[in-house]
Amino acid sequence: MSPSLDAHGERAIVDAAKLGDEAALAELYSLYFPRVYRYILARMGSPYDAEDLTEEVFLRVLDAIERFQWREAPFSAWLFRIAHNAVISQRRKEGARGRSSPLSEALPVDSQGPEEMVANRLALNEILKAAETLPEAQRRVISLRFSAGLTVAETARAMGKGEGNVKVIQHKAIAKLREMLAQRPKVHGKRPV
Amino acid sequence: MGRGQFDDIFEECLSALLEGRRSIEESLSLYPAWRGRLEPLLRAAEEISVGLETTPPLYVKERGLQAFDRAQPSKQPDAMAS
Repeated sequence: MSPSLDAHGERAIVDAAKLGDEAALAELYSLYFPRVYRYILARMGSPYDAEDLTEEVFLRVLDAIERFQWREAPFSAWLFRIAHNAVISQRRKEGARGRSSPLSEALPVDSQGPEEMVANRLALNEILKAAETLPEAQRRVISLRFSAGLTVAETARAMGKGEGNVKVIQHKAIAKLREMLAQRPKVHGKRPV
Repeated sequence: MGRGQFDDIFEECLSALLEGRRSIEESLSLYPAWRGRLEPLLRAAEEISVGLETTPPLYVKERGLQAFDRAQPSKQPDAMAS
């Protein structure tokens, strides 16, 4: 759930959106767009894929929200299942074409200065590259926890796994990423973690 | 303590870190016996979190919003004609 919105607030927005309320739909888009974009960027490694697939995910949401049931899963878990399916479907389409394109100039910069922008892009690139080598379940947990901002409970629901299992996968994934990031060459005297 | 219990402690500290409720140092002081195992994982988690923090370009958000808006049932030709 969005840190800026409590469960009741989100429920009211989702219920209104299910009835086709335009303001509620716009609010859901606004709340979840950055998180879905970050999730897809972490899964695909390409800002171009992240742009196109995020748009596609919200069109799928629009098509399916009427059928969303609270008893089945929290809204965030339902939404990120749709995002996961979009990622899988895109990977199938890519098929023999191989991996997605590398990070590019298209990466967001906001108000950062050039040096900070380059440093951030390098950090993102390194982490995405390291994450690419993780097994699918570990990469998915990292994307859901760190990029989408889901809790362990929400991640478990999105993945159809138990919370205990998600904690174990998360631990292994972070330990593996740590190992890989520690192998980077030392830059400007900064020590790896 | 078993692996499952450590995973619970690590998750508790990680959530506190990601949600900005507690610093790494504060978590380590809560679990001094686990400092050696917790610290490297929490430092790595912090780096991953900062590294993955990115904002979509505004034009992407705007373009997506326009497509989302156009696709709403109330904006479809049938709905507009009725």
